[in-house]
Amino acid sequence: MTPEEPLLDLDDIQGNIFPGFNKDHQTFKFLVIADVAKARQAVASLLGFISTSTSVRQFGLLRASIKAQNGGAASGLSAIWMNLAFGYSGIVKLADEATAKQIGGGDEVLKSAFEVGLAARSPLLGDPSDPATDGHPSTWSIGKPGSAPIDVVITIAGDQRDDVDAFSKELDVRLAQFATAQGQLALQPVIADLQGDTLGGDLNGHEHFGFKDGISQPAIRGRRKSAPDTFVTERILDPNSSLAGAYARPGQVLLWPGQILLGQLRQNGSSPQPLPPQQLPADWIRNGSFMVLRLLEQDVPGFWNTMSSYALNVLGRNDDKALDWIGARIVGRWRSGAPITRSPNMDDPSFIDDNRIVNDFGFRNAGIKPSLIKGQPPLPDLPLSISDPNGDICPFAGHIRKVNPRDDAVELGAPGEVLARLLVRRGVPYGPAYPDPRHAQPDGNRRGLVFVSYQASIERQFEFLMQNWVQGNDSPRSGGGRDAVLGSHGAAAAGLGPTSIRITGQDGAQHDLPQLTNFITPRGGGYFFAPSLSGLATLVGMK
Amino acid sequence: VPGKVADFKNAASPQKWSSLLSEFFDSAISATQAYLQGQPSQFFNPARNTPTGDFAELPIKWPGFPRLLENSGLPLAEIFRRAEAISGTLIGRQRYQDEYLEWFVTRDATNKIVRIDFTCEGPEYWEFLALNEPDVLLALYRKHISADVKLEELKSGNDYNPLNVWNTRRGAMHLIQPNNTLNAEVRIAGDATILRRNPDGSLKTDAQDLIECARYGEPGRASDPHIGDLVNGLARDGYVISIKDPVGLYMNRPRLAGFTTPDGKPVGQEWFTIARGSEDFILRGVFVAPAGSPFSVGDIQIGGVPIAFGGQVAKVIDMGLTGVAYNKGSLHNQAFGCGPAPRVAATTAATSSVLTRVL
Repeated sequence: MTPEEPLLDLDDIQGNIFPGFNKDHQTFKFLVIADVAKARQAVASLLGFISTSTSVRQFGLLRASIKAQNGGAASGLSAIWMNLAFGYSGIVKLADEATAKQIGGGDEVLKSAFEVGLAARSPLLGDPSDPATDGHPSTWSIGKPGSAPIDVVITIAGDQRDDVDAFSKELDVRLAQFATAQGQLALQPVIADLQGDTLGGDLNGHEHFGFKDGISQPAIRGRRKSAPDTFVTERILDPNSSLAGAYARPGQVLLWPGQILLGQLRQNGSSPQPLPPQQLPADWIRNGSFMVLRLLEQDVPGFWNTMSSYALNVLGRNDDKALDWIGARIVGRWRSGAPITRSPNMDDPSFIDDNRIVNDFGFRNAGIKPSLIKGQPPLPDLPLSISDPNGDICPFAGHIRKVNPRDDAVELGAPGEVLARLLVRRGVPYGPAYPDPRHAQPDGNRRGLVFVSYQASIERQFEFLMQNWVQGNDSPRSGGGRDAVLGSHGAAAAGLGPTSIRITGQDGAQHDLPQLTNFITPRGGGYFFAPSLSGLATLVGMK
Repeated sequence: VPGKVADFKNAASPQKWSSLLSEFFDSAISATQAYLQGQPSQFFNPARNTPTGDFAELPIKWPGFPRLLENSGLPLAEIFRRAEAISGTLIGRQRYQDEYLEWFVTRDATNKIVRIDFTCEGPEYWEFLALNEPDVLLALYRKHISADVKLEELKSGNDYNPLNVWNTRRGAMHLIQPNNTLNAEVRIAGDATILRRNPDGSLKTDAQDLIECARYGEPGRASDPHIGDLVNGLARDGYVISIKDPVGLYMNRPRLAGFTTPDGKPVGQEWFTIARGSEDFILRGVFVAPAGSPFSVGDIQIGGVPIAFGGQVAKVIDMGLTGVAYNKGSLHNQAFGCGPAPRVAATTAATSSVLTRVL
């Protein structure tokens, strides 16, 4: 029996951690603490503006209910959200070094990833290790070694760009009030604000290569502290069905909250029994989460040029349909987001129209039609997931199969171990969109993804996924190749060795295609800690 | 011989060792036959009858750092500390290093790591050497552990003592964690060829489900459920299966991406020496500064974090073996429920289905 799920205080948790802002427009401010005492006051003055899980969740429910009523049209609702996180250096300044060390799980002998930071960890993630190579931390625009440390990150998110900009300006005015006698700002911008915006039009919700993004997100187990009879994430599976204990909705796995939030019950593989909460060095750390931010530049023409060459190799042609077919193998989903193990031969947006369908697929085993709780409309009659144990439909190097192998055999033992590596993603694109990415030509603009994830452990989750599965030729599948989208393939991957992807053509012939080109260039970022609301209050009240 | 090492001096030893290995396979096959009630075993002994026909190889790899410890929920530093602690009667290696990879850390007077020895050789081979090739046993200990080793220190009475001081507190010659044996590897592979079914008759396919059902190893490890998972997948495809020659467990070279010297230069494979075995079959590896380097292991940083524990390097070493499979679809054995093998009265098995089960 699964034990009772814990009560979560949603008023204490920052809303981008759970359930996620999910806004089209975001601005990130990167600040250094120039005066600790005044900075405490400045941060304290922001606490009332921090968006909690309660607010963000309620907004989502209201929006869903309006959309259900108006047949899926825009809800017309608009909100501005704000969250805060701190770099290691920021925690050292506001708390102390010993606490900052312990937050990341390190100590005097062993430094944690949080302590040494993203730039130092960069080569471990597969980034270029040669300073002469573009993408090396010395070329970064955020978090470049030797630049001022990023002590504080402010995330502002909204439904309209104008609203986000207006709020951002108000925030600047507010922060300008906290200055030293010499007129020095307590919280100073390290770099210009970073803007991220959805791509607009038909590409809303898609990333720059053209694929629907952010579809698969795990759900968190737990009940609302303010209403213990309700789960924090809606459950729509028939409680008597075999899947109900593991999924919130078809294909959306349930994770114990300690997978994302510190101090909570943790995921224990696929066991229904959670692991006890991690020991915390201080109580104020509970309900906080680590935030990873990476600025990932995408080479859209380069990506589709490679797709074209793969298409010629596998299909003997490179028309748009051929490009789409190959692109779907590389990603594991069609551009619409439809999973290829459910629709192997053609894109079918009807899979994406229903959030009870879009994540309900596996790789190794055939799908089972889920039974839903009473009151749920019947599921659309669409083909179930096809068993693909040998990677004939979705290659083992296909992006979504690498970063979330689902029911595949994994080198860690059992597929349940995958659950203990998952994280929640809160990214947003930046830069101008190409109208049709498949035919993009270099235009001199920089574009990509502001990758943001939250997790309870940077090492066990984000870094594990990057180091072992994205950049690993042999894991989770021996000989499977590196991640066809995110992997380091080119000359910059010296030390990782050659890699290839095996694609099975429509005629059943297998093609081993060398992976030679990087489509992603890291442009910076950092590792941060996003405390709870009570934790923030404690942090600014210290000393 | 594991890794095709040429240790033996006695002309009779190769055959003797081969017979011992063959017994492991025979015993594993017998265990499958206890289940199969007259159906052909899907596991074969390569020393007896390698099939002919279509052929597939399946490399099986898993991380060398103990998953059970990694999933303990302890802080990262504590996990590394426990894995290799030597304190009082506790040998962390013997207790925790259970993924068929064990390591021993050598530190200098300032407690900085100067060398990490990795081994993945099962104890059976060393017991065999003690019995049949004691001079070779001593010579290997002297070569790889210390020139000071004496034969009597390796023994307890007349018998070889795998937990001798040179293989516990003062070095790591071969595996000592109780589950890390060659025989266990063979037995798990054999047991995993038995098909398992759910109460509704469908075949079990999930790794955790399979190992909990068949009990062929420790479900919390990475190795056992993963070996069982992949071997059972071959069995479901109707193959006849075994372990590729030379039968053994082998480590991969460490993945050194992100390893740097204090001057920021990448650490290359010259820091890892294959001490036993060969490039394709590494039995023993040593992570140590190459000759002429001004740095030692403790100076190396992994993603900006100095090496303070051997386990930090073990984390980037994969372990593996290779399954071999013949004749896809040639066997269609019945699947079994969970629990121990039904006890079969061999002489009556063919004639009486009522008398065969003596549950």
